Amino acid sequence: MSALDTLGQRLERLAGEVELARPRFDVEPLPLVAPPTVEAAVELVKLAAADKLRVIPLGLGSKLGWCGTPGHADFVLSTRRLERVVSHVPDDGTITVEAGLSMARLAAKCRSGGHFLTPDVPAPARRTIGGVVAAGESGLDRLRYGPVRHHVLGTRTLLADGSLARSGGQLVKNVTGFDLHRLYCGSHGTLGVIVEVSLRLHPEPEREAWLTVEASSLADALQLTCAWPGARTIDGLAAREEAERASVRQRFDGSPHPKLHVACLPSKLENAAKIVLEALANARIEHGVALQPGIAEMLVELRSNVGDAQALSRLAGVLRNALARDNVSLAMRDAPRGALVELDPFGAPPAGLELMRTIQRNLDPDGVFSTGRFAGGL
Amino acid sequence: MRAGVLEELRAALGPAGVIADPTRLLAYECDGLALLRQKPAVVLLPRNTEECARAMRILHREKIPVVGRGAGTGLSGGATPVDGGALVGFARMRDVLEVNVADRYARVQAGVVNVDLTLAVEKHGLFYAPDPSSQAACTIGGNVGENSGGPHCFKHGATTRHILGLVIVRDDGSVLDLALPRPDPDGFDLVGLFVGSEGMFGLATEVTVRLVPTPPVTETFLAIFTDLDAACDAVSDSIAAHLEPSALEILDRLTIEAVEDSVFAAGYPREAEAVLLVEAEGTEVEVEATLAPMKAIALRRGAIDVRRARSAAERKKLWAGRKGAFGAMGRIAPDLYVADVVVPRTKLRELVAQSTRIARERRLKLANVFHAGDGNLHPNISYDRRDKDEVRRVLEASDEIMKVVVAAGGSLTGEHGVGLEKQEFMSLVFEERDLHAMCRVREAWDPAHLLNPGKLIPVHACREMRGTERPK
Amino acid sequence: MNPQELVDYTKSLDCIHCGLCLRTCPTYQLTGAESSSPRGRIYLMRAVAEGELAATAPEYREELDFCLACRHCESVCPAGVRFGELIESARSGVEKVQRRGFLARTARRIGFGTVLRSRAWLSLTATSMRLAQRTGAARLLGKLGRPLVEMSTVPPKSERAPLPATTPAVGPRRGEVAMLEGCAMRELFGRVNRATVEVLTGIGFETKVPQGHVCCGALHAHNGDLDGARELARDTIERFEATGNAPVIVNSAGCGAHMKAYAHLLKDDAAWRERGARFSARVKDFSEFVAAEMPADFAGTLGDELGTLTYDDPCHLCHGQQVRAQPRTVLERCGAKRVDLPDSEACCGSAGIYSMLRPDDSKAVFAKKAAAFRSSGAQTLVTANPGCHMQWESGLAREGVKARVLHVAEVLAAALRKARPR
Repeated sequence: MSALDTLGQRLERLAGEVELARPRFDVEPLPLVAPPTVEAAVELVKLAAADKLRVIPLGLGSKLGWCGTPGHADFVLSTRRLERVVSHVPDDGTITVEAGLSMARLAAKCRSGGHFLTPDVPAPARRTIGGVVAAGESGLDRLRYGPVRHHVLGTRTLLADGSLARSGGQLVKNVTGFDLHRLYCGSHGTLGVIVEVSLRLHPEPEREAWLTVEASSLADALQLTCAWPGARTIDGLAAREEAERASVRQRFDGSPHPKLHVACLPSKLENAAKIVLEALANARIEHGVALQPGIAEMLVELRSNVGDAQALSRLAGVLRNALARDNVSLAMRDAPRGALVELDPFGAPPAGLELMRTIQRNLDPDGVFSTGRFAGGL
Repeated sequence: MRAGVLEELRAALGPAGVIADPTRLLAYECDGLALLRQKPAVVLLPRNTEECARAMRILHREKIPVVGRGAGTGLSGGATPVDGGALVGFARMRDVLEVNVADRYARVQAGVVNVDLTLAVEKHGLFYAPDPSSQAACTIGGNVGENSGGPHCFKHGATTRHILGLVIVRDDGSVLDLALPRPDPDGFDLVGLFVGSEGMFGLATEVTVRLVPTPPVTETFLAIFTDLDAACDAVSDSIAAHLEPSALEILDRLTIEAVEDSVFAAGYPREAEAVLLVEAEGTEVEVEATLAPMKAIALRRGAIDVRRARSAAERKKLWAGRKGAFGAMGRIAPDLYVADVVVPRTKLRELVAQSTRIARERRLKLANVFHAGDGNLHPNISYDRRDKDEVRRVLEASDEIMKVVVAAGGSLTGEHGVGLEKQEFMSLVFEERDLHAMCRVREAWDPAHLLNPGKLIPVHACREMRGTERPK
Repeated sequence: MNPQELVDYTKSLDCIHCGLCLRTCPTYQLTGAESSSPRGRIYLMRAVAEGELAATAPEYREELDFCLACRHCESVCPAGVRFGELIESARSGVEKVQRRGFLARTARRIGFGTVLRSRAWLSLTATSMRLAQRTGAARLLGKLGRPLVEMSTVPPKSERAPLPATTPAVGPRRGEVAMLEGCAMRELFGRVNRATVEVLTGIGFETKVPQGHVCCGALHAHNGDLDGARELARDTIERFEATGNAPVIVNSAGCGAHMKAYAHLLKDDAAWRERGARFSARVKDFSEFVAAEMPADFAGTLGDELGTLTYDDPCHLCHGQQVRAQPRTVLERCGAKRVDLPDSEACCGSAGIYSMLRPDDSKAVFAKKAAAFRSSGAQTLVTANPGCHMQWESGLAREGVKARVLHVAEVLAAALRKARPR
């Protein structure tokens, strides 16, 4: 305990208060520090590098359940206090902010310049822009605007050696240098801590309409949405039970149940959904479904009757195999750690895993951020 | 090159796949940037991924540096050969491998010409959005290497937004197959990282691209100005007004004259100091809602006339004229230097004026034709490379333009890449630690520095690289 | 020899290396090699002029020989590079410094120096060719006889008779024209020549043909014999000057393009340059002239007599003379059912005597054209140049495609006969 205390004290000296937090809902708590400035964050990473400590970066932690159980980790570094707006040029349609700014406040800032923030994520007050970018999280508006990585113009990232490296810039078009920011997008903090993000903004739409069609059964709804000719041109069309947009957007967010995330090419979704839902029906697992045919994404919440962790792991494995033929990926979110012993929550080992490991090792030779939480144990 | 290597390469690629005689090699000594020249030791023209991989295994074993080349239309020297190195060209890899209409993607070999891809899919009501001005010549593989842009990237985004997958032949000849399109990358986004890596991470041999539905309505108009500043201001105003046409291009008087004298004469008014070419696409309602306020802004900024293209043929001509503009400059002088800086769109007028001043002070002929909507300027300087003093002044002007642009918050290149040309200016934009991170990532792909060595990253900036690069 | 005299250096400077020509170049499409592209060839020419490359390099000549001189690149060149003129001067330069093999030299001497300058020799050659084809002797000649075996049979002597010096207009006389009989046209396509006269006189133009004229010199110029070409140009100008000032009608695209550029060919001699320019202004391609002069009663008579037609642009008509709309216009106005041929402006591989000099390359270039023709669904291919005519006839036969190949004039003559039965 004394070693922890010592670390706690040292962290406290560098970043103010230290609290305890779980890097996943079902693992032991770790010290969490939220440095007030980028400079303080640099000092914290330098400390980790010097003492060969392992660090889990996060924003507000809303997507920790997407990742696997960390191997060893020493502390958690949250960017949530890095909230400055570095540069906002509404007339150029660009903004640069610190990564800890919440999506809600960032959206408000964008609106003040007549712009609209994409992705339109659930519970924007409980998410930071850095977290959304690092997790590559999409919103309902992905169909129209594309994934978040397309809107990131540049980043400043705190690397394992304590250096702050820029990539890209705050220009809507720019090919100067390698696009390292594309590498950080979706890497779940396993290469460094994104501390600043520049975004391209989109004009706020003049009008929005929200269309609801009620179907008598989930199967009908599925068929209807998958067959809808406009499904890929109408913003945010989704199969759902409730009528209000907010509830769609927030579907399952913050729920403690394990979820299956299915993603594929649009033409494969209907069949993939059938396979998954049939399996769940056969196993009598009570579940909820949210599905976006336009971007071919389905989220299934497993509410009860899943059985133990091994059963869940088995179920996911069987489904993954059944879906692999159609190039459909199945990720597991918020699964208990027991289910992840033999199962990578992200799926089969990605092509190019060796190269990814080399990239990670080159940027972070001592593995400060390599906590094994990401795909393939990155 | 060691004895026997050529024979081995010929066995791997067939006799027509290896060019080694000094006469034919001469034709490869530069790409679209004719200012910098270097004859390669050998040119290899594989027909497929397997041949390319075979050749790369031999080259890797022999530690022969490799430069990739699509059509050689690049303007930053990205495909300028390396002394003693091999050039791998993709001119024999021109097959469209698959068109998937339902999921809107196509898989093509890297040497497919940009415009041929759109021609191959237009019958399905689809097109490939990035449209560099050289699209009638440049290849998809080259576009991937440079993350190329084009007029319509204003709406659709540059190449990187349209690449869904790649097959990459690595430095050692191993094949990294990332061809299957996925909604999100598995693991790190290697595809996103690779696009725009200027041939330094590997050779893309097959590319999976996103296809976009042809819009139901496309309208183009030409706003005619007697003043270049006013045209720039009209663009800044329309960005500030949140208008989103699909393209916003400016051509100045010198450019108009060159185009109108060429086979691509499009009817640009010779009396204008500048024209603003505006295109909007979408449904009729969307198009009208964009063009009406655009027109009002142009008139408010002093446009003397606004002419709408009356037919698809007329629209096509306007674009052919725009896209032939660089080549048409050949009428002004034997050589052309195309700068490619980006600026915040609030500062268009200021920086266009600055570059004009910089060229004028050096007695150089400068023509402006640029992607105004993206803030991507192309100050084009006509010169004669046989006039050494003029060449010196051109380089000086280009340096000066980059400096003022960076000082105003801009950047070195919007779509042509850093290459050999702007390499030493990277330190204007990035600090050593930024470049160091780029070096470390490059090391992961190419630890022996055999892929397009000496490009993009300034030699002095990279700790690992110091002393290991070949001297220029 | 001053290297700058081996190429047209000034013209080579127009190219700024943008690469827009690459996609249109048939030889670049075949090899993918930069040196087989217009941009690459100009780069090599420039290197020769600047002393960086010796014009004696065999690969330099090979790349120049490989070029079809189709001039497709000119139609897409924003800088306005005149590639046709560049390749002619570069080829002429190479002939000055590189000695070809004995056989090639002899063949060139006989071909350009003797046969293409004398009607008697031309006629004799045609007769022997026909004989070799009919008796099967061509087959015995092996590789040398291959072009003869593959080309369509040379018509009998009766079809190779000269055109009359004057053919009066049929019906009301609207004017007078002079017509180029041509070297190969008369020997190989007498029927096209007669159809041309039939249409010209049929629409009211008395047609004069200078007797004793042999060749305009286009083949000489395309193949590096610029001196020979100049001599024949002067002869041509003189003979046509003797016919007066009437338009000179040409039914062979290669000859027409060349004759329209006499001023450039004779640029070094002020007096002849002037006469050349005056003469060139008179030169009109057959369909260019007819499209402007077609009488109203010509319209809509052909019906589907010849099935569905498709028109293939001869390179030296579309790229060399910018004549694109007129042949289509006259075909449509005579009531033919016409469909578009994909990539009709791409070279068919004939390229003058190229198909005989480089049969394999020529066939490789043609392969794409055959596919395009198949996809068009047409039954008749219409062209306007003797080389293309032969290439299409032999090429389609080789590929097993049943189709008729006609000159624009033949289609019009058929329509005319239908409109005004004699």
